[in-house]
Amino acid sequence: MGKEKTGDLLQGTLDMLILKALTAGAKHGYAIAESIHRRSDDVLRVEEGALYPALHRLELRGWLASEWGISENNRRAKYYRLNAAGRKQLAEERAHWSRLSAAIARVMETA
Amino acid sequence: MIWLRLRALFMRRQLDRDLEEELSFHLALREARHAECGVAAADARAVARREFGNVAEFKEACRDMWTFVSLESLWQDLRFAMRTFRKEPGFTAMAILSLALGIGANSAVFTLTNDLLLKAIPVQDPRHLVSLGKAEGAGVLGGLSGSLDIFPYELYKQIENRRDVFEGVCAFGSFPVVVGVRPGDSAGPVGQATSALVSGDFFKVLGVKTVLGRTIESADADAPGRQPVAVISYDYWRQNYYADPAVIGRPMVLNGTLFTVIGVAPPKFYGVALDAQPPDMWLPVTMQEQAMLRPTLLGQNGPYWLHMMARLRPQVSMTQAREWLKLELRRYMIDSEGGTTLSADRRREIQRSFIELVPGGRGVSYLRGQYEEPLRILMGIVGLVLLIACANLANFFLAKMATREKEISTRLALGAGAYRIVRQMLTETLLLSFSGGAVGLLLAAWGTRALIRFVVEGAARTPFDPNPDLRVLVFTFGVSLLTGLLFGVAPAWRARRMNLAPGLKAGSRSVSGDGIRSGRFPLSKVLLTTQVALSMVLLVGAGLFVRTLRNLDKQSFGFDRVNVLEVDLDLRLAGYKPEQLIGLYERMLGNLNALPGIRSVSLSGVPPISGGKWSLTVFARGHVPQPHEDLSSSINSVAPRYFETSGTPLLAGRAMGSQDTAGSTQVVVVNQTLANRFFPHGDALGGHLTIDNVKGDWEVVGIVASGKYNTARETPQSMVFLPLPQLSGEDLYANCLLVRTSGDPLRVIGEFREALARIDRNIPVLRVTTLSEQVDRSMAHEELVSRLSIFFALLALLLACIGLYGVMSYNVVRRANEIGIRMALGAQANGVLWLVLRETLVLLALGIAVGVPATLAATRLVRSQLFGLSSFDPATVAIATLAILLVTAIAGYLPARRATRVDPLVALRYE
Repeated sequence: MGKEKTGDLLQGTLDMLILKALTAGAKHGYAIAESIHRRSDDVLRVEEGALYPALHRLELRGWLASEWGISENNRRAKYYRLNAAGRKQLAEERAHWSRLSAAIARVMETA
Repeated sequence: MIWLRLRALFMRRQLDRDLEEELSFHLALREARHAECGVAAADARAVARREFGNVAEFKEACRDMWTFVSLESLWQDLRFAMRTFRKEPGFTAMAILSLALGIGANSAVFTLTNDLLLKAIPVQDPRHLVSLGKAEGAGVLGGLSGSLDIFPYELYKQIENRRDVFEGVCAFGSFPVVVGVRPGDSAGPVGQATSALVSGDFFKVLGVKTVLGRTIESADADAPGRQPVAVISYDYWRQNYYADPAVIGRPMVLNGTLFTVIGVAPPKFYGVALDAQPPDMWLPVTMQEQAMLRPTLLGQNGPYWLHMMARLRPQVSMTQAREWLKLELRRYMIDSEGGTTLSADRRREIQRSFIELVPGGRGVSYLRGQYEEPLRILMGIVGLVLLIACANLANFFLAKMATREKEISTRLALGAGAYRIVRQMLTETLLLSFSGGAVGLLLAAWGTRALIRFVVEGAARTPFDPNPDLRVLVFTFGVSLLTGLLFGVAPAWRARRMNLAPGLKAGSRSVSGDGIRSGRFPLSKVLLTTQVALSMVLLVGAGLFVRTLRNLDKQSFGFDRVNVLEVDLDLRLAGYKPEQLIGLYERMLGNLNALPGIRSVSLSGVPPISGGKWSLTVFARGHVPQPHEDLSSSINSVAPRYFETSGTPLLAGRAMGSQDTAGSTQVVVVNQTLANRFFPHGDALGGHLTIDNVKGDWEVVGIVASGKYNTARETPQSMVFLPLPQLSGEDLYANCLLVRTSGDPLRVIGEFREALARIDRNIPVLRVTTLSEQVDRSMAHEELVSRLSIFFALLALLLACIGLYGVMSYNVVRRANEIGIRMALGAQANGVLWLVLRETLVLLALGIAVGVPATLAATRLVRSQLFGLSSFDPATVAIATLAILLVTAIAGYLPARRATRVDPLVALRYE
């Protein structure tokens, strides 16, 4: 497996963000990156290239399906779509994440 | 999602294109977005790329995810190795050839070892079969004691139906029986066939089914004379009945008795005996009288002539079975030999008798005993040859490493891991070794056939299979793998430690050394020294074996083997009764002695030298036997002129002649060994002997020189020659016609056969050979070892020389500019010659210094196989040393002479 750069993101968080970004429907890589930027109000700036190894890994794990389609600017683009396994995975990661962030928050507040 | 990756494997280009398109789509979109925001076109692209990160790296990461990285790079390594080899076809061919010879020799010797020592015979569940004794002795014997492997019919009957320790026991004749065959109906085979006599449960105990018809069953062999049925071998069926399925139920006349063919054995079933001549048919043991044409061997207190095999009950250990058998055997012996009337001595002997149980799944074989040790030695020899080939290639690869310094340094500099470099080297060596292994298998196919032909003495059919089975293939694969690793490890290790900077410099042939110079020569020197030492071991070994064979051949056999024809007959098959024989002998000897080109003709019961043996207990008047003294002596029955014909020197007294007839005084001739043993005061002439089972009081009238009667290595045995005309019954049958010719004995064969046919057309001639052939046969395995060891020793020496020559030539090339400078500074040609040659000589001296002790250690292991010399034989060591010196000196001299031709100008200009 190759190296991945996930910027300042916690290991595994990028996967969750990608899955989340796709809940609204199929997107190509650029749109996924944009979506993450926008929703985080530009706080989470993913190194954009790092998105792709993550996408391919999720696809190989069977959480994403992909197909080639035509983009808004009339170019061929690869669209990723969440499938059933991906939704299940997202639910798990979401639960895990809320437990984790709540725990961290408690630790920080009791200082 | 392995199928996604598998699909990607076959759609490599598609995957690359898609990835490229996906990423460039992203970059283009981002660039366009920046341009919209007013960034200048050139900057927009740069910013987009910066935000994206290292495009190549992410692409690589994605690719790796989709592909089988190690598989792909293995393929790359292989292709690279192929390209490297294609650039050097000469080197590659040499490497593959030497490996093929080394690996092929190992495979060939292993195939025979497998056939003879390892393979299970084709029976059901061979692991539970046990043989009662090693079953190497064969014949019709009596009065045995100690460890028994041959048994009487009555003992078999005694344990046959007991289920205490065995699920079943079967018995079979300890020797093949030749029968005369005539068709019983319109068509069928005519001639002779080899048969095996087997008990009724033979096939059942082995768990062997016929491919056609049925096997011999218990009801077929429940009483003497029952049933005249035969199971024929698959080969016999194909050759003589043309695989006709209607053979079942066909009549077949064997020795005049009508038999019925009841079954055809499976193709690879040769019985349990892995002997040179597998049986053509199996007959019930109870048909022994008809098959052998001799009185029954099945009676009470009958002779010992059967081998037995049994299937062990699952819960019974070998020790338990052995104990049980021992008691049964002793009970039988005491009962059959007279019970309470037995002498105390004999009783004690019987109490020491036992049966060794050996695993029977591999069958029994007299060849096994003969070839076990030689095969072990040959395995050792071919192993050493392969080691030498390995050392050779390791050295060549080390040398090649130097020329590939730049390539490897470049790859290291470009970021290849040390692991990757090592793997590349090992890929190359393994590719070579497996190619060598594949070619080696082809060579082995030929070599194995030659080996088997030698071992079975050219028999048309053999139980030995020259084709490699799974075990041989796995062995060859393992040897190839090991070989590749062995000669690949040194160069691979070297590659790993290579320094970058010097390798990349242009003038890496500098005098002062470079990236890999330091430390290279010691290793390559160690390898060369090893080669010289191993060649020495092989050469000395070969020398010892060759001298052993010479010693065996040059010793006195007690007869003169030149120009003697040996004709093996079977007068029983021709229907002669004992009382007709004397007349027949007189006619034969009278007519044949008159033939031109023939000096003398005689007859004997046993050939002068043969694997078979006739031995009886002999008592000499006046000799008081020690307790437990073995009084058995070899016996032969001979016609007049036997000693003259065989060329046995008469030392004292007279030979038997025509005056010794049935009515005259009973006389014998003994050999020197017997005379010395029983008549130590030189009074053998006129002494008297009595012989067990032969009626009469025999007077010694002559003493002849002692000889070799069974094998070339035997210690002198005592021997009694009885005159045929004075014998009676079974003892009257002579099985061997001996003919001394004045010229080449092979030239008179035709005339001789005609003359014999004029006397009686029906006398079956089993075999015509010469006495010298028979002597050679008694040394067959020594000959095999000596021939192969000399071949492999020379091969090893050749490989070592190629190695030395190669490394030295390469050194001269490496040192060309050093030599150039020396010459420019005034060095003479002789000085340069010496400079280079000195290196060879030091290696040689080291190799011999290591080789001598190694040789001494190795040859001690083969002591038991030597004859007439000790394992330390200074002459052989000296000759081997000289041979190595001479040959390697030449291999070292040629490159040295080339060094003197270095042109200083050319060498220096190169810099």
